[in-house]
Amino acid sequence: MEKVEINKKKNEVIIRFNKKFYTLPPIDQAIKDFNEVCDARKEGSDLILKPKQKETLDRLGYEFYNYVLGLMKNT
Amino acid sequence: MEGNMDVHEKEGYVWVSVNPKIYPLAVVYSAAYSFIDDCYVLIDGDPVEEIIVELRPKEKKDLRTLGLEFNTELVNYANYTANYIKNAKIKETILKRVLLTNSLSKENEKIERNKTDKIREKETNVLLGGKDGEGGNKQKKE
Repeated sequence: MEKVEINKKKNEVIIRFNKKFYTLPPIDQAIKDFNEVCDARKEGSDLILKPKQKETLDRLGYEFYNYVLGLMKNT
Repeated sequence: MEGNMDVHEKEGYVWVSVNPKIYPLAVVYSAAYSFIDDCYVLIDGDPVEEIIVELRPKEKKDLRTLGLEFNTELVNYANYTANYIKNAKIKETILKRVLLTNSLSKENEKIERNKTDKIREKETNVLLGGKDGEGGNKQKKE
């Protein structure tokens, strides 16, 4: 299964985190910090991001991954 | 697969397989973090068996070189961590000695100050006309 799945039709990106490496608190913090950039909702273990600007769709999921890594590293 | 790397040229990423028995997770995170300016970094696998780090360069870059650079960073952070642990005990010992010495000299300083204060008090009393530091405004007998 793809870790970052881009759905251009729905203008959404599905992110799947491996819970053995990515913990919940930094993910939740990242969701808050990305609030101006995208809307986020959880569906089971998937995190779905909907960008507020269409141009950012391709990069959004990956940027989110990097951001969570940064939060984990700095806490 | 080449060594511990799996290059996916078409998709634009490289997988680097990391042995967690050699490189602790903290080292992997540190190495991965150092790449986030130039790459998107995704970590997967099993922290006990095999860690897979996916590196996707933000701009066109040779994927094999990228993987090799990541391996170098792993060694770099592993070395840093090993030295940090080795030196931590020495630093702790030195710090303890410094603090102990500092507190001892403060104690000695206090005792010396008290002695000096008592001597000054006696001298002042003598000057004021008291015998053996009795002090007061005793008038001299003519």
